[in-house]
Amino acid sequence: MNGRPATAFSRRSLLQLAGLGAAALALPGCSSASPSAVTWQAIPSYSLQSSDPKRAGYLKDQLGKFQSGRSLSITSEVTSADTAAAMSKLLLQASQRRAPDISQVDGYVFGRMASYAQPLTRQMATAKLHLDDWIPSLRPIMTAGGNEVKALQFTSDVRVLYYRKDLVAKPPATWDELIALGKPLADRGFVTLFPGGRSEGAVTTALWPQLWNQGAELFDSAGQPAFASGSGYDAMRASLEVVQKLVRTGVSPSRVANFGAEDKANSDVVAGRVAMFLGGSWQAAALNNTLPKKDFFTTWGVAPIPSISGEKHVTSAGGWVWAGFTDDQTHLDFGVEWVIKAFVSDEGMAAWCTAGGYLPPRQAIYDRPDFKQNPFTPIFRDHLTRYARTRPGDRKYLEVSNSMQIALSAVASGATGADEALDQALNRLA
Amino acid sequence: MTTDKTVTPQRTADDLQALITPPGTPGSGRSADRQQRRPLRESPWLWVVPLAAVLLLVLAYPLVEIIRLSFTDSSLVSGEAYTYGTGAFRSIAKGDDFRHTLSITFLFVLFSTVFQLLFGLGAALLINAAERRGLRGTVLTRTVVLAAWAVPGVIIGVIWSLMYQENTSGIINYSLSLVGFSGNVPFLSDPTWALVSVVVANVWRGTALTMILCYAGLKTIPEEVYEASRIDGASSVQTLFRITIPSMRPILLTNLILVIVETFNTFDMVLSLTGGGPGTATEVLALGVYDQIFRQLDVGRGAAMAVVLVVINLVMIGVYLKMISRAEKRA
Repeated sequence: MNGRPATAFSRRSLLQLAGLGAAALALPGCSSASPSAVTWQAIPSYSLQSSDPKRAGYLKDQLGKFQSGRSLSITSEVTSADTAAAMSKLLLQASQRRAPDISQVDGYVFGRMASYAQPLTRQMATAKLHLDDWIPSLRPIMTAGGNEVKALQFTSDVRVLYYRKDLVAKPPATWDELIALGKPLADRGFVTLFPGGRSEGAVTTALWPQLWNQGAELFDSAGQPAFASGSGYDAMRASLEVVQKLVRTGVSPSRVANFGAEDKANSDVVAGRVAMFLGGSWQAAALNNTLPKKDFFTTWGVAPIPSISGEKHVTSAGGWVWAGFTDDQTHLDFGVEWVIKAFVSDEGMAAWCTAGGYLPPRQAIYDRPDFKQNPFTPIFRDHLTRYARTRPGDRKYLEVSNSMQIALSAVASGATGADEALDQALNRLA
Repeated sequence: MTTDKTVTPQRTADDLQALITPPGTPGSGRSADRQQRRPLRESPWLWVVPLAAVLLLVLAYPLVEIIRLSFTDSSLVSGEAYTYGTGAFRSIAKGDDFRHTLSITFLFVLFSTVFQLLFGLGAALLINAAERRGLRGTVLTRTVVLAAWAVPGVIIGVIWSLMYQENTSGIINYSLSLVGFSGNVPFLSDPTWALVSVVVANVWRGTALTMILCYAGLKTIPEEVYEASRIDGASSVQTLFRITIPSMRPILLTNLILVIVETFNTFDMVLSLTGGGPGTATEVLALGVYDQIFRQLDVGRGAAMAVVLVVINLVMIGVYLKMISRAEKRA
């Protein structure tokens, strides 16, 4: 034998190839961040990539100052714009222990992620923050039903009824009043809008408040849907009947069945075709900026979402939290210090909520001169304190929400009646 | 020349010897030596193994995993306990919602496929006819039509949702209002209209691919055949149905199967256009799978629905292979 041919693969070459292959397989498991970098993930509009120059500028400035002279650094990561999909992905990552060190989480999903999040009580104490300062209705999100704080809520919002003051002299307290008031207005071309599509925002705005104001709950103590029978069923059916009446009487057009987000009403409001609409607190500032005369705060009023009885108003509150998922205490401390500085501290929350037009979840911020309020902020704060509830963090919440989104959309479109839609929803959940 | 004549028979004898002697036979002379010394690069395994590994990793493993998960009640969250059973399949079999989703999907696929093939073939015939007449702009037309196919489904959904806006702000409703209609056609909020709207958007998106494939098929038909038909006095309709379409049968068949499989798997455009609503009026199977897994985190039921989707696709591919083999036998 004269040795192997020069061009043949040797055992060594094969080993090298195998090594390269193994390295390639291992690559996805490696973080893009270096060991001295803390990963910080936010949704696009809350990140350095925000399309709003005010927000992006604020974050860039704060991050530059924060990192200056520090041995660790922050690596910014951005989720997809589809926040529902982004939250699902984050939940999966958290459950596999590969979530970014610090992540932005939608408050209503945090219950599912809380077991993977690190306690933040110590970091709060270091920053001289107290849970008592947060608006009471929001505290359950932060503790996820436990004793320790596991998330820092840094923005909040609340759903209300907006009405045009030149068309509606006194805002309706009940749905019957609203229909009586809205029918002649609709005949004149001024409709009442609400999100009735298949989205989390739709059920949060148009359905849950109705259910809650009748004293019913979404889940029983065993975590099962509490509206499958009895008074819970009646309350959910009555909530859907409100939607049915609004559409059948012509007060609301059936196209609300395709309104996935509250903001879908904005173009109609700007076009002057709306008398009343159910929406979120964040819409006021956006609409004021969009209206040609910038007169939203003077021509529109805000009232509690009507209830069936007119006696007990309930609304739903939401917002975003920061949570830490890393086991590395140094990284956790550094990341939490960053989000506290930029979003949660007195100055940070005042600046961020001013820049974004959000409601601060901490009560002390409302009295600060550097928090620039709009004329509706005191009313929103009042609603947040008096009427607001947050969505339950039960394991089945997403399933129940999705099923009721379909029911709401079907009723709003006129495809089914309230009874049929509810029965179909319960069948899906069975 | 002399050298060539003497060497060639010797080579042939060696090669024949190699052919008639089974590999590895003791005392098989030169071929046995070659077998023993065959470098690794000449072994088929070196080339087959990486491909097989990739296929196992990206195709077989996910498929097996989906089938396994379809027999569980697992959620998207890792580490949460789950049990094995047939609950997911029983749930989709007994629930009205899955049957409804299937019927919506079949309607969506049927109408999308029929119109996509008709429009795609029509566009290809027009472009081909224009080229034969030496008209300008055929390349530009092909490029423009193909652009629709290159646009991501999510963007198409957004574009069409702007077109379908249900007041005079929407382009279609505004156009209708100009010719005397109300301008309030509920394109996306009425269940029937919504399904029609989704089919129209999907046909718009898919026609380009059909057109390109049909155009390629048209180019394979020899010009002499058309010339002969002209001499024989065949009309345009006779030429279309007696020459063009029969000659294009293989490409039309491929087209048909591709369109059906692609339409069954469509969900991105529907997601951004209607989200499956109103109610479940436009919830196609692939969107249902996405919804179950990524919105409701119910991997077990989502995987069971995905298995049904895989079975439908496999049946389509089976039909395709059978028809192809029948056509080859006939040829």
